Amino acid sequence: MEQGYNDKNKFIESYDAYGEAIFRYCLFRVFDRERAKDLMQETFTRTWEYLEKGKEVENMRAFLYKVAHNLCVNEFIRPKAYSLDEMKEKIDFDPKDDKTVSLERDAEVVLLVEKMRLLSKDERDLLTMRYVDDLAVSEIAQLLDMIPNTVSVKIRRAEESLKKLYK
Amino acid sequence: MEKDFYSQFKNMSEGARLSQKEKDFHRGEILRFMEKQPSPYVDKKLSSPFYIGIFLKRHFIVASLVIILFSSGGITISAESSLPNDYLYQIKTKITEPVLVFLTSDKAKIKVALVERRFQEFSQVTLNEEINLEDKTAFVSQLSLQVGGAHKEIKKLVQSKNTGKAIKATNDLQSILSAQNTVLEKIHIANPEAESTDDIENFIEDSIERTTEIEGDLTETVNSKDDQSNSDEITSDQKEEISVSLEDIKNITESVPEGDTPNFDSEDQSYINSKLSDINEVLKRGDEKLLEGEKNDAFILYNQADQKLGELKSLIDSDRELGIDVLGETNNTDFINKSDSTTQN
Repeated sequence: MEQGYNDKNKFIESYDAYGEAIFRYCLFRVFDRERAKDLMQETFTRTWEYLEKGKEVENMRAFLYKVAHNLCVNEFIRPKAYSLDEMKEKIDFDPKDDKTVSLERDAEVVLLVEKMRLLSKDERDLLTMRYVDDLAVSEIAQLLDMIPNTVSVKIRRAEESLKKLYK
Repeated sequence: MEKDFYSQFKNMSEGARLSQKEKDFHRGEILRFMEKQPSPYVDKKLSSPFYIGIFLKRHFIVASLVIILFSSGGITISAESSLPNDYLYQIKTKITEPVLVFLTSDKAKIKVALVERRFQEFSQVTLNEEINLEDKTAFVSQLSLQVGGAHKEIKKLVQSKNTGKAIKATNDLQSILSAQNTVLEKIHIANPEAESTDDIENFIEDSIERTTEIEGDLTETVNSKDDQSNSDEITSDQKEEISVSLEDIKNITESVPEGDTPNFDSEDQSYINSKLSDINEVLKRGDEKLLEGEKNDAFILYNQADQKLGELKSLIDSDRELGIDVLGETNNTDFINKSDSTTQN
């Protein structure tokens, strides 16, 4: 357990620090904003339950990602092809905070999400972790129990696959 | 990655946000949940007036537990048979096994054996639906440490030029990883309600990939050796190892005491025979390459045969221990195909 994790305030600080990142992680795996919010919340409640049993967590961030990963793996995801509008509605980007967001940019992003869904689960995970969650290769390697070189190679291959989908 | 993709991913990330209202709502929900549960941290504090900070030091606790364990064989024995969902499991994995590793000279061998043990335990609890998400997460973490530890020990053997032992440990590890991937698939056929093991299967595939990298380095080391007599000794050891493994499998499958039912049904026996026939074919090709003076190819083929034998042995063990039909064809042939492709022609 990290030094200083001695009360509920400390745990809720981890929500403040990583909550949104965990939400994003879940969102780009289940492609449903409401479900992603539930999964994010469940990630934290399950982690608290885990700690409650007296178990230790060395790296809270990595542990939260692992719990979120396992929860998402257990989700039944229907391989349905959404239209761009449906996809936009499902993911529900929230442009209300940003009046400058253009419809064109919004459509590009939704198209990217749609293409990402056509990649294999592993490829999607790696690209999301690297470019959406903005995790360093070394962090991804730690999360996935892989060596950094292997992660780099796999990310490069995933990028190639994504490029092919645009051709 | 093209610049366009970077900006699109950035937009994607920025678009997937929680509003302040949503953040506050979930924060409140999590806090409410925590209020209903006792704090794990507060519970750990000792309220005894005899409390002295030093007793909470980790090394003191570990040392005390070791003393207790050595002085009470019962707990140690119970812990030895514990499974990932048992409270004694932590004692086994964090105390008794590290002590065992410490006391064993062939550390690569013992660490590979522990990887197999982890998988056997995991298969058992998964099949019986006795594992929850938290235990599974902890298990993956433990397994990752153990596979990493085995890789580290193999690399140490290579560095200390103990190539024979390094090859043996690498082959054993590959066999176990490959066999356990098959076992997990079979568990879900036997019990579709069993907890998902996708993450473990991904972990196994990555571990196979990493072990294959080490195997590649080992092959290079063996073939670049100036001392040809050492290379010949390694090949001779490989053949002896294979011959022992073949004999083991023969004994398991054929020795049935009078009056007992056979160990395997006819379908299992047919599967085993078919695998043995494939392995003998690989061995034959290895012998031919050796006669032609192609020691490099012969070495790779013998390695393949050794790994396939180990995999078959591990599958047979799992079939008997889990009581489900593990022997039989699956879609999991990537590893075997990959190995085959290295020695074509």
